[in-house]
Amino acid sequence: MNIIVLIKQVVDVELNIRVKDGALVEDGLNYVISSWDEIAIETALQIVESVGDGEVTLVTIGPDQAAEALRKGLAMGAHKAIHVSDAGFDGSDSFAYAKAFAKILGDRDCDLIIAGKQAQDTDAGLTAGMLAEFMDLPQATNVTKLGQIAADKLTLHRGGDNGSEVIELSLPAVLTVNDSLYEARLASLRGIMQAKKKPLETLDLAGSGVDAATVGIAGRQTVIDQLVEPEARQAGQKFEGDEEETTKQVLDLLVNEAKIFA
Amino acid sequence: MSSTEFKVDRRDIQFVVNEVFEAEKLCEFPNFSDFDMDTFHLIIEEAAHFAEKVIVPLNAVGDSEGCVLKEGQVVTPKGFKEAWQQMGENGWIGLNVPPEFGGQGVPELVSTAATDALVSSNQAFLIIRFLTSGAVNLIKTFGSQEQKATYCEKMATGKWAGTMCLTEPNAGTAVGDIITTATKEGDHYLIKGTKMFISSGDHDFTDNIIHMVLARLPDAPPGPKGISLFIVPKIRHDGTPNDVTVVNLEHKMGIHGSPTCLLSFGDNKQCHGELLQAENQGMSQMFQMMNESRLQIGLQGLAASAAAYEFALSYANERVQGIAIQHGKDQNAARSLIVEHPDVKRMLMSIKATTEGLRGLMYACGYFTDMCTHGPEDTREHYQNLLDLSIPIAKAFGTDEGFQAACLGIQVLGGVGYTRDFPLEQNARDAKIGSIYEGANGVQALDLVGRKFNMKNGALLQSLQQELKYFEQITIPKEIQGMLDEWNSYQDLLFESIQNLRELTKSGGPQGYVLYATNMLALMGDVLCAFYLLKQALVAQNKFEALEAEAASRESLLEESTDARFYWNKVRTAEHYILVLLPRALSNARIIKNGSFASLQAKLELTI
Repeated sequence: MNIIVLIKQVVDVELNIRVKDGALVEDGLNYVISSWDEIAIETALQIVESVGDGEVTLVTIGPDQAAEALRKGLAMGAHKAIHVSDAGFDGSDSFAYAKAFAKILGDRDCDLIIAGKQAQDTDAGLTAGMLAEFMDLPQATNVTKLGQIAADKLTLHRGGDNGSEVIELSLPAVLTVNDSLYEARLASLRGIMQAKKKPLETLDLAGSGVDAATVGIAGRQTVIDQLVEPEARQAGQKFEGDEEETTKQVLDLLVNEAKIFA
Repeated sequence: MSSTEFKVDRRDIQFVVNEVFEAEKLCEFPNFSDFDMDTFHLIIEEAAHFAEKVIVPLNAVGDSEGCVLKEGQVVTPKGFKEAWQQMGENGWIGLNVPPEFGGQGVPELVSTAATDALVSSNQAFLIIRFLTSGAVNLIKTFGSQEQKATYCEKMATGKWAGTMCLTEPNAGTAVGDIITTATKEGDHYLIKGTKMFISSGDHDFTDNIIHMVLARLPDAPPGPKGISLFIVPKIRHDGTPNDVTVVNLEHKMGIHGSPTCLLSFGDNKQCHGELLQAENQGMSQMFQMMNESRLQIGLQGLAASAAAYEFALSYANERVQGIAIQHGKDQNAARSLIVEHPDVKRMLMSIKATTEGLRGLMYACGYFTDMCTHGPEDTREHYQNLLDLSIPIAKAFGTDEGFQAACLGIQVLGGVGYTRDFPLEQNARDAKIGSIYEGANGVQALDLVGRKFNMKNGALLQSLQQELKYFEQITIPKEIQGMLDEWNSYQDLLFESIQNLRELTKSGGPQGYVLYATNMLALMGDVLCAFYLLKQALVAQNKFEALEAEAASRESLLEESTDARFYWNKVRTAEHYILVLLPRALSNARIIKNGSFASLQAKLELTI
């Protein structure tokens, strides 16, 4: 079973992220693998380990520093990685990235493409779905549990609008994974040492075969009009008095202000 | 980040490893040719990640739950066993152990940094790792091929754990007085005796525990020369339990997550031990392993200081109290964060300077270890000298100053720092043991002035003198020159004080010579920490100037660039150490010069 995992390097959201003049303040930020993509790597490794055969290939489109994310994924146990890096991708949106991935992955032999259900920075959750469409592959999003794995099909659970759905998916296919599926493993020291020796292919725009007109500003379908910091959370309200008094106060607010029983 | 949630200071650790000690240069040595800068970076990053994800959450529970002795077996706090197994599987136990013995052979400099990241998150949890890697190193250095094959890999990967059984009820610091016996019987020895204060003497982490036991053969000469070292597994090779009994579990001030045991060997005359290499070599074998184990305890001191700084600074940035002094008595002025009060800032700066000075000292020991083992042949002796001289200082100064910094951290928080609602009081309680175990700090001072000063006709001090000339060959930015001049005067003071200490032998004999060994060690510790901070400040100043050259103004640079603020603060930290902390070296120098024997002459007794 050969699996491709799409990963995205994002800003570590545990840090204080600031916006100035409509742009992200880059200073002081750390970059990490988007947490759902870590689960995607874990899922791929679990499948390959359970089948006992195959390779996990990581693919990212991102600046030079995104190689760190690939190295970490290799240290977790992935077998090889492809880093597509070119200023021509700057300004791409989900649509443009999906187009690019479709081109980059088109000729590569694989049984599954897995990504996180959304990226931790944009929370859009669009790229993998569009990629499946462009590659004409079946897809299952928001996968919460894996069932039987066969060479040509996969049984899985996905979180749907009305509860959990159990789906049988023919392969090759595209999956996006929920963070309840697995806990991502930590990179081992042995893994870190081995990562250095694993193949990491670097491609620029031309080398990737992607048409420059389909990515970057030229290829995007959406424009970020405005980037603003979220409003600071308001402090909570503290109710004082005995139980009867505080319960009354809370109920009063729920009924009359929040109107939850309206 | 909150004042109760610990994060590893990756930036400072990476700075000292990569920008100050330039770890990448170690990759030129054949043993480290498999490494590169990116790998070092990732090792430290992932050690920090492991610490935060796996070990940090166990720190409080380890303290509150502690270890329990149940039916003769120690049960450790919830989650400890799983964390240990994960640490072994992920390679963090044997990271500096050579690959042929089951480790990864990471350079000591980087291993020291990774251990710094790991230990600062949970002092109690890491102790068993120190002991296990110490035991592995003993067996890999002195063991037979069979012993190496039996034990090393299993221990380096955490399947088995190790202990060091030295102390007995009547032989602690004076380890030469031990009375545990070993009697040859067929192909093994029968061990009989009691060992106390044995860290990780029993636990539920592993299938087997490998005790390294000091014992005496029936015909052995008295004192340290008659001590041999034995491997005593809890479970024998045939799967039967060895005759090792946990008699008691100590109830301690801190490190509750680390089981400290009273062990009895051979109650039923069935405790089998294997001799390590040769009879009566135990003490010299132990001595050869002490550098590593003492450095690790020094790291515990650094850890306490690092944690104190982080918790105290986070709290000082959250806590509003009082009005900043510049607002005078204006009661309508906005209340200030306590970080804005000068006295709080001073305390924070002292903890920061201690942390970063100690970090320099500890990592230097790691670097010296690499250089004296793998560096160019013609410099190996120089680095060995520096290592041997620095180790007692790293251990004793590291743990003393680490504990002081931990206490100062509590002070920053005030009343809440003294409560169990914040991790500062646990940090201080856990840190206190550092000055006591692995050779009490007084013994480290004796080792320094008694052995190390006189070893090889003073060659160790000559190596230090040569090393401290580092700044003479370098262009010094003017921001650094003032503090360098100041530090230079302390360098002179250090060597003068060594002479003054030697003078005490004339008037007070050997007693007089060792009376102020602790002051000598503290003086050296301060001068060395200031030296390593100056080295850091030099790198930082050059990098700051490069950033400033590209910036619109210093103000905007400091406002906008985290890197610039890091380098700027580093220079201020060095200045604080040299102008605010280092002057206590004057006091130590004066004490040595005064050479009072009042304490020796006093007839101390209780007058109750």
